[in-house]
Amino acid sequence: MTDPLLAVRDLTISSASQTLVHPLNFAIAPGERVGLIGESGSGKSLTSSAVMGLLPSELTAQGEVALAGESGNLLTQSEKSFARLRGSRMSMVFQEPMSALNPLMRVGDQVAEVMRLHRTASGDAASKRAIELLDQVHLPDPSAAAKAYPHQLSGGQRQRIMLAIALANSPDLLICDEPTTALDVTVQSAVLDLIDEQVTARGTGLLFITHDLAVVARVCERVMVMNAGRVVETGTVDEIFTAPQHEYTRGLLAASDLTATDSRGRLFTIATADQYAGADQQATAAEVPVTSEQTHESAPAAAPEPTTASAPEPEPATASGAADLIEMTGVVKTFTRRAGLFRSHRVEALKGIDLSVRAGGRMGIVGESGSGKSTLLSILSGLEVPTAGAVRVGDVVVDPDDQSGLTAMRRDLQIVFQDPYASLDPRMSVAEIIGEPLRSMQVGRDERLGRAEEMVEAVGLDLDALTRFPHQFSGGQRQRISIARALVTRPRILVADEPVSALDVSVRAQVLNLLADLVDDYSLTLVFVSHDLGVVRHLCSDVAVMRSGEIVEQGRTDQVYDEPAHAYTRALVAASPTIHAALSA
Amino acid sequence: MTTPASPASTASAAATGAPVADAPRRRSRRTADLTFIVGLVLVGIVVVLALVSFVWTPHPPTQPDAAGRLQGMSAAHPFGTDRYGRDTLTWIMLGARVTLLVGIVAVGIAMLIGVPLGVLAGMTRARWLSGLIMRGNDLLLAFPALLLAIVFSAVFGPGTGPAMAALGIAAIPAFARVARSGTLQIMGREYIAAARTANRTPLQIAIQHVVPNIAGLIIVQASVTFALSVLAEAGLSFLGLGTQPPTPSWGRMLQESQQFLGSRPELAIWPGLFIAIAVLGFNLLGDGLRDRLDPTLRGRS
Amino acid sequence: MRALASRLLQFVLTVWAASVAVFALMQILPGNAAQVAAGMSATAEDVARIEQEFGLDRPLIVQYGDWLTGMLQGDFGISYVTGAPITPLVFNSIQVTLILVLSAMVLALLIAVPLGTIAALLRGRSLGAVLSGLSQVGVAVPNFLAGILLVMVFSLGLGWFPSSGWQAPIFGIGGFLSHLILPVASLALVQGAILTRYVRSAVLEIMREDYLRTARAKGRTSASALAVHGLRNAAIPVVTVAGVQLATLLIGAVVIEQVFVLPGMGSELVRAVENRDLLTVQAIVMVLVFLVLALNLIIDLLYTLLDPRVRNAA
Repeated sequence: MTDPLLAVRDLTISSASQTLVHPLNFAIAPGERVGLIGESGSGKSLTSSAVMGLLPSELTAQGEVALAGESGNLLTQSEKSFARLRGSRMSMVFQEPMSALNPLMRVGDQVAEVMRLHRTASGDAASKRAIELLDQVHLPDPSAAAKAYPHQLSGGQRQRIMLAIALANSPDLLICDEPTTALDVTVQSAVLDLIDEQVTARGTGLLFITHDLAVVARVCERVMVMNAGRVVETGTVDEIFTAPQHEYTRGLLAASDLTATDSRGRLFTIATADQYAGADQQATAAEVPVTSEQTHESAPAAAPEPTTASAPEPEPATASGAADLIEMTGVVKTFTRRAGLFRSHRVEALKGIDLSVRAGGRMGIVGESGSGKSTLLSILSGLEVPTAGAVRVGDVVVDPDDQSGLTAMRRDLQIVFQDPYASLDPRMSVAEIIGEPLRSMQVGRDERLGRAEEMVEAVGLDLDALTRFPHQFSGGQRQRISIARALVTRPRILVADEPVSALDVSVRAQVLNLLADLVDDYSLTLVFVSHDLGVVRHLCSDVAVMRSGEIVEQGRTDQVYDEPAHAYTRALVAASPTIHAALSA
Repeated sequence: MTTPASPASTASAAATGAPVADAPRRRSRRTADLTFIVGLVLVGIVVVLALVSFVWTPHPPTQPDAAGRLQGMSAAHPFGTDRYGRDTLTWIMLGARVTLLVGIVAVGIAMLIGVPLGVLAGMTRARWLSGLIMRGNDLLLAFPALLLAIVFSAVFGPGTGPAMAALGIAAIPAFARVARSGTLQIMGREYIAAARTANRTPLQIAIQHVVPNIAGLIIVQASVTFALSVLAEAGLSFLGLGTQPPTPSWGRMLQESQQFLGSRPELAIWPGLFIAIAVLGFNLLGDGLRDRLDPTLRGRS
Repeated sequence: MRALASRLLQFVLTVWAASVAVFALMQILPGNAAQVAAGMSATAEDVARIEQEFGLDRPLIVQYGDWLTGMLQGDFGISYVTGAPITPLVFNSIQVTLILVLSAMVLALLIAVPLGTIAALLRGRSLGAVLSGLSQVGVAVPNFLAGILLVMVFSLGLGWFPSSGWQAPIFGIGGFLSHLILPVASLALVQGAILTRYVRSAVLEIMREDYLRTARAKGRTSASALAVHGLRNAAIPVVTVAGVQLATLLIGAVVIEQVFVLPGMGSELVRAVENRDLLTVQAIVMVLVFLVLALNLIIDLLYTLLDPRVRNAA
């Protein structure tokens, strides 16, 4: 590290009213891969923007950023000379692939643009080179892809284009700001492999920003942990993950590790992290060593195994006849999309789902976006009408035309939603929100308030929360309110739709623990939908794996995870980043 | 007439996370407040003029003062007099009444019909019903406010009544569209799904969740429509097809001033100024409200 | 292609529905047309005679059919009041109105695009604030007031341009332009103010887009990122608004034609209303409504050309 590629000294970022990043020092050696991890608001993205000279105009950066081979401090350079470095000597891939590309320009032209701009290729040569680059980032049919507009490509494909743009001029430094956070796990895995491959091939220095410890362990050699605008700890991946020194790092690590539990079987939180033994100690034989050769965006589609083999087999844990509280048989859902006056096309969201959950069971449903898991939930709760098939909840056969049946059913089944910001009406007080399900049950005002008080305490909020409004709470607190609303009717079944996917890791552990406590205390039957295999493994006794509207595999959680029968399940398990897998790799 | 610019600030900055946007947020918050206050003051001027005119005017409105025709500004007649010797300030005050009346009635008609239609179109699962409402809307959009008002004056005869009705009807599509797109947005929120699983009826959901959450949009639209109606009524009266004599109206005062442009330009300037004040006031009020109610400008805890 | 066909069909259906609406509106007061045409002192027989002469005693559906088929052949019928055919009147006046409206829109865009962009770029600085303040005031000025003020200054005051009247271009381009300039300016100034605000907010919106940050990460300065990637994207909402505004401009021209005594559709419409010449009103309103709908159609098609997302979704 005598001659760093990038040296950042005393970098401070502030807005007019406050300091967002406190004096920060780090260096990246040529070809080194450095991870920057932290939760939302930690200042990690601002740091990367400052290095690139892309801070929003209302923020100011002070200190020094030096790039090998360039004289002087980048921060004091003119916009014009800074721009000359961007895209040529250092480049960046952003988090949101859906909006990062110009919607009106063919992607091939957008790749060629960066070469024409820096005069590394011009005219037709640039277009040809763009197609080569698209090939290098493994886009199928690169010359056709070059002619596509961004909206015609999937998120993973767009992120590959962004990478092609970033690498076009073989930069010395690549900055990735949460490049895979918006992607499905199998796609994420493939994109991470690609970044790995390309950076290795070119000897590019990497600054990788993420909130996900497992991802950082997989890609980087060295890690910086950031919290509230400060780097609290720096070290090699091994050091940080096996012997974290700072209390925040330990907490983050403990809360991220979904296989580690305390004596009560609950996840560690930042508060209980001192009991956490460390990632290497917790590593068990459960980790399946995997070859991830098959993990492309649409990977397992190529290997359709006979799905019927596993599905109808009566699994002792899930199906046991009379004891089933929920039973779905042959559920099909077809959406008809209108396109113009005459045309319409049909989308099969669910292609015949058989699923049963016994009373007291904890059923996890995992799948990637578009797998139909949300549609399944809507049908289960009577919000959508199945095109064919039947759903039974308790004694009620769900039929949206039968209001009294629905009313009875919904007393038994309540939902916790994904988005902590959209699931609470901003204009209602917390007491009104929690009490709302009771209003249709003709419960009087005083009793409603009484039961809302009870629930607020049960989910660990203060009583004065009742008179406040949703915007006064954090994401985790809102999910608690959402859980309180779901449980106020004393349902037998709790359906949770990705309830922790929008939360930071440390908050996630708290909410998952709360859910586990409440499921025990109220003897609930749980249906838990998630894209995150680790969360489901921790919380659920059974699991169903969905893909493209079908359940490809279901059974006991351990069994499905450890000996996946279906190729897709194998791919999914392999692609899911875990700290242990990354460390042992 | 002219549509006061209302570039819908789509709430696109969905949870960008970090407190990055704090500084500009606070700044635009201040300009929003300033916009709102200036708008409120301008509208207040017009409202006060109209209210005061019921109890006091500088001169009796229809007192023909042959000796004092076409006077300039003086202590007795601060704004001068017109060709009949009537006091311009008095007429401006009385004209404020018609301006506000037309605005209130037109906005009332448009809101009472347009909002329920829009909410219905946004909430119904029957595609034909929302289709019917929206196609009806498209048809009505082909008749701009002033054109419909001219047609009404042709059919029913010119007057304030037909003008208000026409302006109100012509503004229905704007309200229906705003209400529908707001409703569609709200219906996609998870708290609506929560309310449905809580067994709330569609009507209860509409009243408790949808309407309160789109109220901001509606109020902004009302303010903008008010400004539009003031402009359209002035134009209509200017054509002689709106408010009829002897009721005072700013548009007609402008029209009557045209023959004295060379000698007495203030006859045009006063009513013109007050039309502009009223329109500017309601536009600013709308803009200020939009920014105040914009959730992306509202700080999170 | 199918999307285009279905959009065209929708256009035809809307025009047809509009024709029914216009016709029905005129029939709300029964016997109105003949009564008015016959005059105040007409006897019942006079009215009956006029009804018969113009076929007003026939069933409404037949009258509507006649009117519609006539229009499709370019014949708007004969006025009950003046006894003259309506078609030449529509044909002559529409030229004046279209010249007025289209030149006003071009001028308005020439004002609005640069000013709006500058106002967006300078947001938070004093010049930006002045520009948005000016556009805010401009929006509040009725175009006929703008017309009156322009007449005061440029014809009564400076004597540069005539205060009213129209001269066809074949009688000399100079006279044509000098008669055109004030009415066009009064429409364009107000319209320019409106569009300035839309351009400003469209550019502001675009400046927040992620792909502009991408363009800067590629090595563009903010200015060049906006010029290359931003403006075309900003054009999409502006084109949409300009289309809607063209329709309101068309109706706004009615008043401006009165101010400047121009022989356009607006003047003919107002005269017909004053004469209670309902068939002429009906014809002019139908033509204006048709133009509004046709403008919407053109904007939709333009939008499709500009935006590949719409093009491919269709």
